Amino acid sequence: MKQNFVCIECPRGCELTAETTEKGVFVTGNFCPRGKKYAEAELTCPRRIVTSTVRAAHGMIPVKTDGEVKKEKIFGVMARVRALRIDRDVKQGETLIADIDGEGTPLIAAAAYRNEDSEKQQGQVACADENGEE
Amino acid sequence: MKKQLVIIGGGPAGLAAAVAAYDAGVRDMVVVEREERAGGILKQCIHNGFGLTRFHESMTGPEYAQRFLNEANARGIEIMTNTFVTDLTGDKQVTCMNESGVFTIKAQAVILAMGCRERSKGALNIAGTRPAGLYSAGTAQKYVNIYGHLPGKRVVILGSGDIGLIMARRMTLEGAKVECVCEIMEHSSGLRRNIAQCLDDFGIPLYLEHTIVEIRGKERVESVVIAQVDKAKKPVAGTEREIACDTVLFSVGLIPENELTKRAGLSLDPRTKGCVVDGNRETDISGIFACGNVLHVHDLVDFVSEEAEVAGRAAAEYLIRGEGERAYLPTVSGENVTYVLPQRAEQGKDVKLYFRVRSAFRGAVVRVETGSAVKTYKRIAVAPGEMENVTVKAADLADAHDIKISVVREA
Repeated sequence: MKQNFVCIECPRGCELTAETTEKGVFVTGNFCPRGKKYAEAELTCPRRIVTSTVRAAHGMIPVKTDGEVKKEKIFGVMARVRALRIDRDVKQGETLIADIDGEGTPLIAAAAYRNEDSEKQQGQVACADENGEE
Repeated sequence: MKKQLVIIGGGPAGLAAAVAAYDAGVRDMVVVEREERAGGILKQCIHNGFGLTRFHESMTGPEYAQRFLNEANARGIEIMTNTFVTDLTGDKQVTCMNESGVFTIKAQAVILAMGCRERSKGALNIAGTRPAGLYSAGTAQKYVNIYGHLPGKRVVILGSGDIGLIMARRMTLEGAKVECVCEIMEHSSGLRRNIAQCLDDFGIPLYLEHTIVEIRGKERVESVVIAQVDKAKKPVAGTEREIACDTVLFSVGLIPENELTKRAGLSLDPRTKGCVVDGNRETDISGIFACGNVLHVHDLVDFVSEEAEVAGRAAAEYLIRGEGERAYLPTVSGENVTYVLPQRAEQGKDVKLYFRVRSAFRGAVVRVETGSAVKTYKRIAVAPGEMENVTVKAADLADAHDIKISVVREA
């Protein structure tokens, strides 16, 4: 059986063909070994990095999973990201949730956040609270 | 106020240019940034995939920006935030405005790094009402990622540029239903990987050769009418379909922000919508340089950084060694090429030429003609949304009058 994928590992976006035979999976169209790995993972267990934002006392903090999570778990991960609230200083790269997907993948901050010097943004935040999607 | 070097814009281009200029010996400089924090649009681009070309790692926008901000901070480079540049003259006087008032900086060299802005819905002439719920994709991105608002719950996206694709995924993750993405062209202008990971992953349909012909709704968007278009991009009668939605996002192109450039009297290239520059990214006024999205819209920030470093080093060279005599060759867009940048190349120097193709196809050959010499380079696939580059050696320019780049199908 032949299946086609577009590799998402880099901006090149190779068009991959994965042929599953009795002897195993054969990948063509890949420019580099990451493409082969990607197509094999798509056939067995597709994974993605999830990026989002977490609501803090005075604004939003960009976050990402520190590693890929199973594609089927993306919306479960998002539910936990959306429930999180931060009201303290955060360093870039700091772990906010140790295990976001039940398989040990941490959720980390992609930018530093300082709780105290965001006071001038409070006007914005009042607005966010009013129309927030919670 | 006097400064050797003024950099207008503290986004990825401005920061990389500043760091490169510092490393090449310039100390007396300032980066002028209109927002509260440097970093530019990357602050709201929270998705990953930045830096793969340059750093061989996948970073989010804020992480990529922070890396350059750290470099600037480590060198003690002054970044004047909350400051708006209102005017630039050809003799390099930069008029600024901030809380302390209006003031002018007399510069010896200037680097333009103002970035670009989104083409708006107003440019599209779509029929119908003007209800709430119409946003440019980048505005919606700012609402969601910076302010924490979700602009709507049922979304139709017009245009398949990368920001539109990224927002299709982002809105879906935040609980909105993205009904479809309509693209008037026969191919997407976004990266292939973004169609895969932002649309296909979430089952969001992409309708190529489709557009929105009418927006309906009184107070708020209630629906849009989409239709197929013919080869002349005219809607085909009988193909109209109404799609209920409360939000429409427009991802219909980016335009370099060149108001200051025009005020300074610099020449613009109608194809790139940015300055005409040489390989140093120097404009037709010596000592004024341009880089990043204000020069031409890039699809990857990695190339913005690279270009900004060229401009930063060249500005330092101009300040420290002064202007030398130079001979130039024009670069020419041949078959299937929309533009080539820089527009002129210096005689006797290697030059890396960036260009975009007119249409997407697989099995492409890039032809570089320099006088009687022709060199060809193979590409697996080319697309208008993916900028290509090729380096021309100084030795090949010896008997050339111009450099012509064409892209043809593999025989």
